Amino acid sequence: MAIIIELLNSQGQSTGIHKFSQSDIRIGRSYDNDVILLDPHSCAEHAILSRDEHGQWLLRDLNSANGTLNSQGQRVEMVPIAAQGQTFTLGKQRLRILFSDTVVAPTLPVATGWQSLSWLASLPLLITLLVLVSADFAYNTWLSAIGENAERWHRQLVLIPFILMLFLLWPAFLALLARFRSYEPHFRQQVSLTFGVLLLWLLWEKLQLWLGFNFSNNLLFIALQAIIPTLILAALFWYGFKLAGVQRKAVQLVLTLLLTSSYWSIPYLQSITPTLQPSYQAELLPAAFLITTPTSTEAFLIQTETLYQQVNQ
Amino acid sequence: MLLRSFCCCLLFMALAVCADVAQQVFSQYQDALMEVQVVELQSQHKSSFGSGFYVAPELVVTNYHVISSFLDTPESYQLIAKMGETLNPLQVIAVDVVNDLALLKAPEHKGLLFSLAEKLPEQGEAVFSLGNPHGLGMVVVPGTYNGLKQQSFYPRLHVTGSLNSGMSGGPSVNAAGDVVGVNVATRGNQVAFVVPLAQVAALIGVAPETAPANSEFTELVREQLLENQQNMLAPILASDWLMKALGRGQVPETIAPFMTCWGHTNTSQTANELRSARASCALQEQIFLSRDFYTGSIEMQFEWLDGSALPLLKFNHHYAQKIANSRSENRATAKDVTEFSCHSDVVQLNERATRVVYCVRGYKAYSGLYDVVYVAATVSRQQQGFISRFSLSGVSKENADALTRKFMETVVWQ
Repeated sequence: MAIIIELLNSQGQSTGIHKFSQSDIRIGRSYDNDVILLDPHSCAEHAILSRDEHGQWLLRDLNSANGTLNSQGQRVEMVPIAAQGQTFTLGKQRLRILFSDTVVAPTLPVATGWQSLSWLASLPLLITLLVLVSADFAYNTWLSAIGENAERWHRQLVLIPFILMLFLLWPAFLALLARFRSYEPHFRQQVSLTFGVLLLWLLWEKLQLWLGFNFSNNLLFIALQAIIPTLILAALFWYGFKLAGVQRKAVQLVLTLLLTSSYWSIPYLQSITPTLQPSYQAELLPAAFLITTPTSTEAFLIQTETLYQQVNQ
Repeated sequence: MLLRSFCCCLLFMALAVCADVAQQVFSQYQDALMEVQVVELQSQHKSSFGSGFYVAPELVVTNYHVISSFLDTPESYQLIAKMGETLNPLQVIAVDVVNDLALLKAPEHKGLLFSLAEKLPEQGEAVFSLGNPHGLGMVVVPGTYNGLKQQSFYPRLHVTGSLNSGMSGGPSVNAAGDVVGVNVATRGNQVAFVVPLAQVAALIGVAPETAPANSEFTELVREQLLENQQNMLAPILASDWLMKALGRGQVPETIAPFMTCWGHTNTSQTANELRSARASCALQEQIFLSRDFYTGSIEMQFEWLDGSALPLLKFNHHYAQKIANSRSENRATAKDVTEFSCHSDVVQLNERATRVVYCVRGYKAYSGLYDVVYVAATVSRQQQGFISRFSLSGVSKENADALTRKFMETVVWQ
């Protein structure tokens, strides 16, 4: 059975693998060794790995300056190699000793989830989304400027690229995550997804304003106010993780639910300390946007009765 | 020259007489004054203090706000009378939160007692306020009586003289040394307010023989607050409000004599301004219940907005922002009140669609009393808007309902 010496860096990741079938393997810095170390703290002839007549492998320190340490950090003179994957430190060089019958990890499949989202990579789509989101930001800047600011509102447009860059942080994070896990980063798809979701969110806000103005106390509207933002956020996280190469559906689901729940848990945490000032719906639009018939004073006052029941509980 | 020296002479004589009376009053009644202390039991240090005075051998008058923390949590405080170096315990017999008075049972006092005057002094008459400013020791402060406080729902004597914190609960006396009222508040330079003797006499009149249990005061205070809001709102609800125009909005000109009104407008500097004209009326006095809990306020605000120079959506954006945050005017903590519950809808007011918001919070200790916040904004057809709001604190549901109805019927777009 052949023996394998794996050189490790300080994080424990492999930097080189050597396989030997002979019974004496010399390890050290000098060029006549079988495994040549680069670490200046190791000796020219540092250690020797040899097989005895019973087939037992032994690692022997050759009286080196900085010694040979086992995985507990203890200095060893001669140590039998009994188990798979034992690690030693020679000077500062870590190495792991394996046998050729070691079972390797299962094959990692090539990520396929993103293929159904390949249309997100389209450049015209990305540009359209950026233009629409920027237009909405610009509209809001214009909307809030009155008085002296109304003449200078366009100066604030300079800020828009910086705001857009803030929204790149999330796709950049997911792309990096995918890269670290040796998947395709899909950065452009991630950016399109983020801005697509942002655009949906902005559209929903406009729709919500109109719905709130017309259907203040409609149960369907109240339900939609809870459902739609949750769905939009869930879409962002679900497809984001899919593009980042999260293979297991359960992991994808748990991460999505966890992050989406922040939409609910943050207001819940805030509600633990009571707010003593009123919060209410106050959507107001010009008369042309009103499609429902206003209620009467009587009907309104009857509705206020329930408020007293609520506060008396 | 002769005239001038004569005048000077007269002035000196007057001052001399004044000083003389002050000296007399102080030396006679010094023994019947005390420092009322609320002592924190853990640390054995005073947490608040004021003044008090004997009106009967065992009865001491002070302010409600001096002893309120004791009534709030009697288990962590003790009420102490400090006379000279002697300390004695006190008990609360009766309170009048509306007039900020409290009657205490004290160890028997054998010396001279304060007696109530027959009637209020004449305007311009000298009065002397006694008390313990900032705990520096008992002092006498000469002042001038200047009639009853104008535009006030609660009767208060207006005295031109210096009151300082710590003198609260001390007596103000006339030149004969008879009590005309109890020191209660100060506003700025030399403006002092004193609770008149009639309110003091009324409290002494209803005082029971023995001290009630501390828990009974909550119910007593509740009844006083309910009665007070009834007295305050009944004339407002019964009268026909005299209306005037604010832009195209119809707003009351005067609501009640005890409410002061203010106006404000922003003059348009540039073309793209949202022009606004505001009017507000408020009762400037609140009832002290504890350090963080006041009640009894009424406030109304009206605003006319004109943004003809602005695009409709832009006008509307700023118009809507103005009604997004409404607040209750009185101070309160989560210990005192519930959270607000709100109802909001578009209501037809005088043929115009109007966004109306109505919010209520309840008092935890005083059931049947509420704080109410109301906001209404007419849905704009052109770039014009009209906002009306009121906030009431410490009112019954019936009165809040009645005022809301009256408000929704009269304060409208014309």
